[in-house]
Amino acid sequence: MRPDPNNLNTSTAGILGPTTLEHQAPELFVGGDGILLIGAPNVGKSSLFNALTGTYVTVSNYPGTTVGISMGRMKIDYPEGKEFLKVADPPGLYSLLPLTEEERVARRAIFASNAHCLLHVVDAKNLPRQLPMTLRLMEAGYPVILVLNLWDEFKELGYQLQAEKLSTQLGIPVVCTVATKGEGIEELKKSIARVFSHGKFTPQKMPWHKSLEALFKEVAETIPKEKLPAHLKRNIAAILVLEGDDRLARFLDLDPERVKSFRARARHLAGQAFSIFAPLFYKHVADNILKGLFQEPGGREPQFREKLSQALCNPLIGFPALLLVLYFGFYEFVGQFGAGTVVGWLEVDLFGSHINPFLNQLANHILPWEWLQKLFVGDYGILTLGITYAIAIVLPVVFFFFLVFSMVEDSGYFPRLAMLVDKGFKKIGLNGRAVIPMVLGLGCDTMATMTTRTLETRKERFLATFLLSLAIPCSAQLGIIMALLGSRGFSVWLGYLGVIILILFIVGWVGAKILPGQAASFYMELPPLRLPKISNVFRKSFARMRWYFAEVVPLFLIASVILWGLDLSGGLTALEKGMRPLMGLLGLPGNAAESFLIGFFRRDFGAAGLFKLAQETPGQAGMTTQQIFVASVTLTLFVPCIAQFMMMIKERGIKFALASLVLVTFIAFSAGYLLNGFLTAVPLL
Amino acid sequence: MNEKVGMGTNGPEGSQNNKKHAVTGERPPELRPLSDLKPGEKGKVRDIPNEEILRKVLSLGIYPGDSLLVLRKKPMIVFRIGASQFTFDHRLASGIFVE
Repeated sequence: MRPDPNNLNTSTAGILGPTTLEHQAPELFVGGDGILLIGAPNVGKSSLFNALTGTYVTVSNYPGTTVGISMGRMKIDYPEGKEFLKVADPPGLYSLLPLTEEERVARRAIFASNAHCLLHVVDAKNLPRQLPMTLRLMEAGYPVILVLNLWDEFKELGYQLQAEKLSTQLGIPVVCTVATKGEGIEELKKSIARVFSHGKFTPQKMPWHKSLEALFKEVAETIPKEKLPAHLKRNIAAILVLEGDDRLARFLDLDPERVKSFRARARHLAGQAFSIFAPLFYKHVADNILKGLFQEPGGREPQFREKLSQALCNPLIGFPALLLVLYFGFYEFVGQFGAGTVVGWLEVDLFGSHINPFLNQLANHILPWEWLQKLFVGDYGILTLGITYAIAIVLPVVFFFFLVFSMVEDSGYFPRLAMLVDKGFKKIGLNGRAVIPMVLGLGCDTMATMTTRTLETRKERFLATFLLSLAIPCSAQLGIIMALLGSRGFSVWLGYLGVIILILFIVGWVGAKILPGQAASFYMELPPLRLPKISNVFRKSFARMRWYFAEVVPLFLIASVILWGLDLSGGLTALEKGMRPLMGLLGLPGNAAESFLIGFFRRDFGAAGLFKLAQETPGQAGMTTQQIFVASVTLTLFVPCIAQFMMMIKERGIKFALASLVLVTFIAFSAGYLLNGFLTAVPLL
Repeated sequence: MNEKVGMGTNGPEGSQNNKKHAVTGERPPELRPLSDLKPGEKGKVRDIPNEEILRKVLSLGIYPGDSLLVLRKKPMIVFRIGASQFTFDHRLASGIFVE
C-alpha cells in the first residue's frame, strides 16, 4: 500500500499506509537518484512537478487537494549524457511540525527520503515567510535547492530580490521559475545536474547558542539509533522533540519524564517555551539573511481581482454565486448535458442499439452454454452491464463533473466557500475545511473519503466520512437522480435537495453531540483568485478520470460477476424477496428492491435501475412522483457503494465501516418510511 | 525587553533587531485582540498567549512582529500579511493580540 518506487508513471493519492507507521516509511527512491519537492500549499509545487516530469498530476488552487505522493520522472542532460531521475511530489507542508495528516505524509516523505536533492519550492512573494523552512531543511542536512516560483507575479507586483547574493549567503542554489509557463525550468534542471555531479555541498550552520547546542547533543544521545527514521539526523530529532513533537518522542521511545525535563531546560535557556523560541529563531536568521536583498513594493492599488476576491467572501454575493455555480455548472452542464444528452447518446444510441445487440449475437454464436453467455452479455453481463454502465453512464457524468470541479478549484473559489460555510459546518461538528471532501463527494464519494484525512481532528474525520456515506450522492448517482426528478419538475428536485440537506444537518448535529472531542478551529490561507487555465483544467480532469477508471472499472466488473453468480444461483431472487416487504413500507413497488441491492455495488447502478423502473411502460406502469421522490431520497441515503466501503475500512477501520453500514441503512429506511407516511398524509406532490 | 530571546540568535548575523521578535512579557494596555479590529485597520502581531493557537499561527508562517491589514470582518475575519491573505475563525482571531 505504499508508493511503488519503481512506478515511474504518476501514481496518485491515497497510497500511504496507516498513520501509526508514520516514521517507518521505506526509502522513497530505489538507488537514491531521486528528487523530492517540498513546499507550502499554493506555491505551484504541482505545476513545477508537471513542468519537470511532463507527466500530469492534479494541480489545484486549494490547500489540501493533493493527498498522497505523486511520482514521476524527469530527463536530465549531463555533459556526459542523459539520465532519468525520479521525482516525488508529496502534499503541501507549512512547517516541520505537522498539524494535519497530509503534512504528516509530507514530513514522512522527507524523513524517508534518500533523495539526492530536495527542491524547496516557495512563492517568491512570500520568501520572508518561507525561508525559515528552507533553513530548517538545510540544517537537517538535506541537499536543498531553493526554487522561487511564481516569479512573474513577483516582478509584476514590484517586488525585488537579489537572487544571486541570496544563493551565496545560503550556500545553496537559488533558481527563479514560472512553472506554469515553463520559465526557468531548464536552469533548474541544470542546477539539479550540478548537484548530482558535484555531490555534497556545505550549507551554512545555524547560529544556535552554545548552551542550546549542548542541550541538543544531550537529548540526541538519549535517542536510540535503531529507532531513528533512516534520513533524520539525531540532532534534528532532538530539536523537534524539544519543540513539542510528542508523536516523534513516542515513536523514538523516549521517556516522557525525561522529555519534560529537557523541555524545561530548553525553556530556561531560551527564556521562553522552546516551541515558540525555535520558529522565531529560524525566522530571525532568515530575516537577517534577507536584509537588503529582498524588497516589498510600496503602496498597492486594489485591483479588480482583489475586489472580486472580497466580493466572494461576502455572503450576499458568495452564496448566490454558489447557487449559480451549482445551477449552471452542476445542474445544467453535468446533470442535463452530461447525464442527459451525452449519456442518452452513448447508452441508448451507441451501446443500446449498436454495440450490445452485436455483442449479444456474437456471444450467442461463439459461446456454447447459456450460463456462460450470461456471464458476458444479457442483464448482468460483464460487457452489457459492467462495461456499458461504466462507459456509457458513469464515465460522461464523472468527466463533466470533474471538468466543472477542476475549473472551480483552480479559480481559488473553494477556500472562500470554506470560509462562508464554516459557521454552518461547525454546527455539524465540522469546520469550513470539510467543504472540499463534501463537494468532492458530489463527484466521487470514494475519492472524497480519502481526502477526509486532511481534516484535523479524529472527530471531524469520522463525522465527515459518515456523512459522505450517508447523505452525499456521487455524481453518477446524482446525475441519474437529477434526470429522474428533473422530469417531474424543478420543484421536486428542489424538494429532494431540501430533504437531503435537512437530514445531513440533523444527523451531523446529533453526531457532533454524541461523538467526543471537538471540531478544530478554522484557519486557512486564501490563495489569490486565478483565471483557470483551460488546458490545465482538461489535463487535470483527464488525470482524475484515469484514476477513476483504474480504481472503479474493475469494481464494476466484479460487481457484474457477483450479480451474475447471484442471479444464476437464485440468490438474487431470494435477497430481493427478503427486501420486498421493506419496499412496501416505503410505498414502493416490490421490484424496486433490485435497485437497492445493486446500489451497494455501485450507487449509480442502483439509481440507474430505478430510472428504468420509473420509465418502464410495457406491461407495467411507471412510478408515481411520490414513489420516485421517496425512492430517490432513500437510495441517496442508503449504503455507500462497495468502493467507498473499502475506502472507509482503509481510512477509518473495519469497526467504524461496519457500524456506519448498519446505521446508514437504518437511517435511510427510517427516513424513507417517514417521508412516505408524511407525503401520504400531506399530498404535496 | 527579553534578554534571552536574543541569546540564541547572536550568531554571525548579529542580534541588533531582536526586539521585534519578542512574544512574551506583560501585555501593554494598547494591545487588542485581532477580532476587535475593523476592516481597513492595521496592526502588528504582538502576543499570542495560547500555545495551541500560537503553534497554528507560526506553522502558517505568521510571526510576532508581522504587520497585518484587516480586509473584512464578515462572515469571518480576512487579513493580509505581506503578499498572503488568511482567514481565521473567531476563536483563533480573539487569541491573537495586536498593537
